[in-house]
Amino acid sequence: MVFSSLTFIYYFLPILLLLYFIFPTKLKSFILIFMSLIFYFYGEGKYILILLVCSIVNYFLAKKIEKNKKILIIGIIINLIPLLYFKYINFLFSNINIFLHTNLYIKNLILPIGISFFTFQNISYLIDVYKNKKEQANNIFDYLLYITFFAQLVAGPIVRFTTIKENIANRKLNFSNLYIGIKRFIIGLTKKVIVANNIGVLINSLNDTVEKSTFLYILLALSYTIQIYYDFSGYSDMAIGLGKMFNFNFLENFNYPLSATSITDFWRRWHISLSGWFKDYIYIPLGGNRATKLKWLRNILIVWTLTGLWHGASWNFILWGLYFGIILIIEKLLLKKYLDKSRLLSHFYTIILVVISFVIFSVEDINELVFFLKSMFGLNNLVFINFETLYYFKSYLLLIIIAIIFSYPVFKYIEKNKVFKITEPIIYIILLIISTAYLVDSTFNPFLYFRF
Amino acid sequence: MKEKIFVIVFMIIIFTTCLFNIFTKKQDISLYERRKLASNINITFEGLLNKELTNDIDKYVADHFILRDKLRSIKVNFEFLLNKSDVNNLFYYKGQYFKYEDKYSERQINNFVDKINYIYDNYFENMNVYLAVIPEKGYYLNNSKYKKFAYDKLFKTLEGINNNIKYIDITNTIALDSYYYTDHHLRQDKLLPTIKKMANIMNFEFNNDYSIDKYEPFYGAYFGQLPIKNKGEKLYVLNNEVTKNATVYNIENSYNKIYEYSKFGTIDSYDIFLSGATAYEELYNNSEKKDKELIIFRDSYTSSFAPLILEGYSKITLIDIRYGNLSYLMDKININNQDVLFLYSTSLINGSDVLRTS
Repeated sequence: MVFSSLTFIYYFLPILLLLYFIFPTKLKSFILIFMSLIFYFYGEGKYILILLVCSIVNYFLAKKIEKNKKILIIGIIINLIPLLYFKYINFLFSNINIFLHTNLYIKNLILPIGISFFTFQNISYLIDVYKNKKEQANNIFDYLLYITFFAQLVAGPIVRFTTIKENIANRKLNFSNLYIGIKRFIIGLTKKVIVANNIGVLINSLNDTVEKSTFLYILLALSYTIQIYYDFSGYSDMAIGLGKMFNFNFLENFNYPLSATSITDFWRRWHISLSGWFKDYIYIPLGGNRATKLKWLRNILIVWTLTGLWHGASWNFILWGLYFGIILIIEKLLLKKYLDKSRLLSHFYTIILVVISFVIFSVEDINELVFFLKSMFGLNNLVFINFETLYYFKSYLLLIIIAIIFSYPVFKYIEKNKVFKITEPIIYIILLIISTAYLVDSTFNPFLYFRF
Repeated sequence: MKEKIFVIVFMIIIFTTCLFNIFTKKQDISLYERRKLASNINITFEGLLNKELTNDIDKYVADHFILRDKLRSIKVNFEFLLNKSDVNNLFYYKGQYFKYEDKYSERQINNFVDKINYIYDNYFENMNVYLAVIPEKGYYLNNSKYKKFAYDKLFKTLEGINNNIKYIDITNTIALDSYYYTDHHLRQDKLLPTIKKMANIMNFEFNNDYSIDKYEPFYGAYFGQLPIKNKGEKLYVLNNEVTKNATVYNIENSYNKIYEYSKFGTIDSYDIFLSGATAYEELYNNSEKKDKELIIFRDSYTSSFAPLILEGYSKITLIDIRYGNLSYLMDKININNQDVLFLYSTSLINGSDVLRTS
């Protein structure tokens, strides 16, 4: 089930809230676990067993861990097996096939929704408990609630148990949290339904255009960036908002990454829970930057190759990760002093690199990717602009401008405005109605990060 | 206080919507959207596991959502507020609803040429055979803001049709106001100059003397697809002695009148003409004895043309090879030097894969 669906907003959520309100406080956690499992089962049917088995096994392994490195390694391997199998086995086979001319392939292998997210949460718990026994969950139900809680189950943010340990016990109804949570949910819904989905329609139209132009590829690249940002940050907003409604304080996952002034800055702001996970559980254990320069470079490249692979079992994702790894190295070694001189130029530099990165992210076929990038930079002898490109550009210009403006931290200032403070409940209700209208008449509502 | 009111309003919205969605009576069809709505969900264990069931539920929820038509209208109006040029390929300009044609398909247009030539070569060689092409209303839209279908290229490709088939150019007897505002079809009251031109070239009798009946509200195909207005328009039906006395033999149903008035107010009111398009129909002129018969290869546009052409013939046979195979339908015809007319719209020509010639 996706948050941005009528089934979720107008069936699942009211039923959950009703049950949550009428059951006594001590049973509220069970209601959340039960409804979270229904939420997952609705979207992923049979794979619910993988989720449950991984979580339960992980909980008991953590109980036995007691600074035992063997158990830790066994636990990590057990957690990784389903992820490696479902997500990477066919990618591995396809590469083996190229070299050995074999025909290895597993048919009908569908990636269980959220497997990359709950696997990382399970592993982080295991490592945290290995390091400090006090980080352990009080009981299996607290742990199940941590892993299966629907708000973060299928697409993050990747929450650490330590972050919400206190929240798990707090099941009292809190109007203030409900207010903040609902507002945040509606903001996310609007970002996803009105901006990301609409830009998705533009992307489809541009891809379908017969007569391509250089500007079409530039517009497509920009559209990919806007779509991915609004899609994923919108989903994170909804997740954080839903968590808040039930007294969970998830950490922020995005902090206006498109306003960054360097790629280093961008990755401090983009998918914060993932980069934090890689930093704490891969980069630092490898030695981080407290090693020889060569090892430090190795560590960066390992982390970014894995970051790319985490996003998908395809060479373009590995390339995407390495692209960022190499830029980060160049920034740290050479560019940092220049980037600090002009915020505007640094920002311009960052945006160009980020836009290119999302082309690499979106175009899976390497030949197509090369063609795309060449076209975008006018190296394919295409006309610069034609009627059809101009038509779509004009048609979506206002939405693109709005999307760009709100990708900068302007909303922080709007929120402080007195008029907005008075009228904001009405504005949020209007946004909810418009988003509902889009969902009722929707033919296009994919969620990009579900595939991860 | 503001916080509490907001939370309560939000809760009221989601709870009451949920209850209304569950307990309001479900409709089978949407007259606005001209389609069947999702039917009751078939719950199976297999469907539960392979996501089929959840997809069906999501579709059912969207189709039967309360105030669906109002919400769709909100969406479309908001899209135009965002300054979008079209919504789902539809747009509204100076009172007219337009829909962009599908992407130009060189292959399908060439196939159309081949199919017409094939039919001519196999069934109608040396007979009086004609072709008339009805442009989509976008043909008459002159505004550089909107995309223009490559009509010139399409007509150029049609020059590949056998020269023995006489081409009747009807583009200059039709204008933008010849079309319904909310539909892609032509108004029958605006067809008279076109029929007259066809009569001159095909040499059939045409008197131009009709009474005009109006039926309202008529909601065309685009009305519900682009829900920005709530008022329908008038449907025009032309009558004279020939149309009143004519009888119809329909292979698929028992309707036997030229105009089936009971179709007005149904999912497609345009079906009032010949009770909608079917694979095979015969129209009989019972008012005047004529020595000519006509075979028309048709699409939906023909339904309003044929009643007016009947005046010039004793019998018209309508063949729609979208719904029946060519050889099967041709077996029903005794070819005896009839006139033959291929009367097709540009949208069908651009999507000619639907024509079943083999």
